[in-house]
Amino acid sequence: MSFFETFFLVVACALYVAAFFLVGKRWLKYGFFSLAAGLVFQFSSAATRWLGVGHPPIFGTYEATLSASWFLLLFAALSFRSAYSHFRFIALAAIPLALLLLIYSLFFFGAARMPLTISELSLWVDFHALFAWLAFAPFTLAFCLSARYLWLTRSGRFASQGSYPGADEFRKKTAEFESMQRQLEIIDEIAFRYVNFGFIMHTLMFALGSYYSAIVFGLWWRWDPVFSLSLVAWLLVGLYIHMRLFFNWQGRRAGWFFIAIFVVINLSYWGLVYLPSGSTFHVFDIDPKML
Amino acid sequence: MWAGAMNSRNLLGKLADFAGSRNFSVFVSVMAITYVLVLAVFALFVENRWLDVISGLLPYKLLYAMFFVNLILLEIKWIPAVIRRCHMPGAGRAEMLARFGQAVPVTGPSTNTKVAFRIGELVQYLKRRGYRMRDGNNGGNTSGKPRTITLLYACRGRFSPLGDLLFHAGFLLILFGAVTNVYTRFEGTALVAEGRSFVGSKEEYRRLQTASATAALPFVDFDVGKISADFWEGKLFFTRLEAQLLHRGGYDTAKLSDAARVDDADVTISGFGYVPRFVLKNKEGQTVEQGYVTLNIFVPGSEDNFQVRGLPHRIFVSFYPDYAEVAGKNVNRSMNPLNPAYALRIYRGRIPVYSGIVKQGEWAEYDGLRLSFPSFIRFGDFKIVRNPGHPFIWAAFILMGFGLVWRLLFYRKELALWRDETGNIWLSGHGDYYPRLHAEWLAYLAEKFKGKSA
Repeated sequence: MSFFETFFLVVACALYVAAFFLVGKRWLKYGFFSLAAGLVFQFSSAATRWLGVGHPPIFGTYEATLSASWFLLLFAALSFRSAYSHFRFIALAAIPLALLLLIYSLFFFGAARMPLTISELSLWVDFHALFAWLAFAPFTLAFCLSARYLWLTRSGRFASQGSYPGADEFRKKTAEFESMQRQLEIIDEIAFRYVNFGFIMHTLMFALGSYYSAIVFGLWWRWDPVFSLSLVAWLLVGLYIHMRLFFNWQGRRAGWFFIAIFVVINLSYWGLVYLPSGSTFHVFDIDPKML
Repeated sequence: MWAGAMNSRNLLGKLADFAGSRNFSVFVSVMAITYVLVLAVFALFVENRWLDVISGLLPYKLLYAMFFVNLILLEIKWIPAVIRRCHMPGAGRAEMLARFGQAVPVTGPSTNTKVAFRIGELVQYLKRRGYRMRDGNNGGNTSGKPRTITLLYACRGRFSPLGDLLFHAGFLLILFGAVTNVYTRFEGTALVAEGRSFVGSKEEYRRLQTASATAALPFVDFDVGKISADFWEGKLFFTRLEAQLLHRGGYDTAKLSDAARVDDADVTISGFGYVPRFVLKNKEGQTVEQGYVTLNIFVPGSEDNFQVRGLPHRIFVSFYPDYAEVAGKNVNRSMNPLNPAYALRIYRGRIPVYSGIVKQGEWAEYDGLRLSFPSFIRFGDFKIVRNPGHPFIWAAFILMGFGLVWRLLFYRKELALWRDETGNIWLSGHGDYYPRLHAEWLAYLAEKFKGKSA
């Protein structure tokens, strides 16, 4: 990593931490600005790397987490514009996740700069990866919202506590319940909206990957473990959408289902490096000493 | 007999109903997920060609068949329903209430709608957001009695349900493309050296892979110009590999990541190797034989051999592009051909007659013969592919992407402003997928455009 790349990234991380605390204190506007400034600095870090290494930072685990965390926080920042989007919760969930992703890659894989090999030198690959991260970010936010829904509706949450002797208190509790119910429905639907957007991006990622596979391998489909896992994730998300629309799976059931799907999604994104060597060409972490 | 026929017809009807039901879709989806997971696990341990075999076994074929039967039957059912959904609805109260589950009270009883609600501003607001509007009417009321009056109807994404059809029709195009490939696909690899021609005859191919016996050889004809390769820091890590091709259509560059379109095939280069030029002379200095020999010696350490016709010697060659001797050992400093040298082992039958390093231009002497490698050229490992089904598959992807974006991003949203019999004004509406968020939006609009004296 060059000095500027590191400097920009450190500043970005500091701004994210500041955004986390500001949002936590309910100073949402300042939190948003801090988050947005962090995004600018992280983009600068990625751009510096891009200029240095000559390709967009999407190859190898460090670059993947750099892109994934940026898109995740971009979506979190975009949620600020809507009054119903639960910006506070999304920011509080997304910032630690993004930082964890960066720490994970830096700690386990390092940020060594490598050029691209001939099979990676294509705009199709760049766009394929772009859509992959555009899918990952909303899926992650949908996961966070699903988890929140499940947490808020965990057993006993709505059980009455004690008796309500007065009519006023009863009315107050009823209003609270209705407000909570409304909030839960909103959370559920926002999660669904993120899933839908992620599904579109996942499909486009698939299409571009398939097109590029046809160029490099002469085949539009190969049973590579990554192809297969991504297809499983895609089918599961498709099933989730169908279950919601036609079988009225909402709320807790949909929440649990999406959390299970998110495990598969993560396997297809982050599990690749743990697959047996040579089983997939989707691993881009190369140790220069091994060449 | 008639009863039997009727019963079997009923049974077939029931089967068709089930095969075209959403329950069956769920069943097929779960099966597909399981089957693909099985392949994902297999992919960790077996070669890709075995996965192709497994995915072509009967249970998988059955799955594909069930998927497409379900899809086709559902599409047939959907088409009229989707077309119905695309109609602009009538503005009568009964229909309105039936259509719209949510209704937000805007004002109390009022006779002056313009004061109670700023319709004009709402219209402008909706127009800016791409809504199409229809003027309100009184639902054909001629009796003069007070009744519900629709003041405004607005709709966006009216045709978006068609996106559903397009997305699912994409699967059928994929099926068509995949089946086309099964019968017409061709893939072959050939080693062609710089300056040589390739005319696409069967003998020129090193390996042929046709999807079926009916797939003919593609018409392809090109000359190979310069083959260029760059390595990162001289290591076995390609950062560039490309071949200049001259064909009927002109010059083109073939790369691994960018195929050259030559006649009716796509040509990529996936590897390269060296073709050393050898000169064999006798004691008197007369040339016995000379020429180029294609050897698989690109990766340093790999060894290949050749034999000169009419002579008993077998010559084993390995190649050092950047040779150096370090502490008595032969090493290769980089992949760049800066100091080419050949490690030779020459046998007459089983008897070794020569062993040693010969640099470019040096001579190896054995059995009264002298062998030298004065130069080399490169050969490319070309892949020649013809996939007539691919255009259908790309068209399917475009269709599916377009359908999804249309349906999921530009989904149908409707809004109606109406006054009931008592003069109360209501805002009601319907949004596909997100009814709660739509209701929140209606409440926001009701508040935003409420008149001052309401």
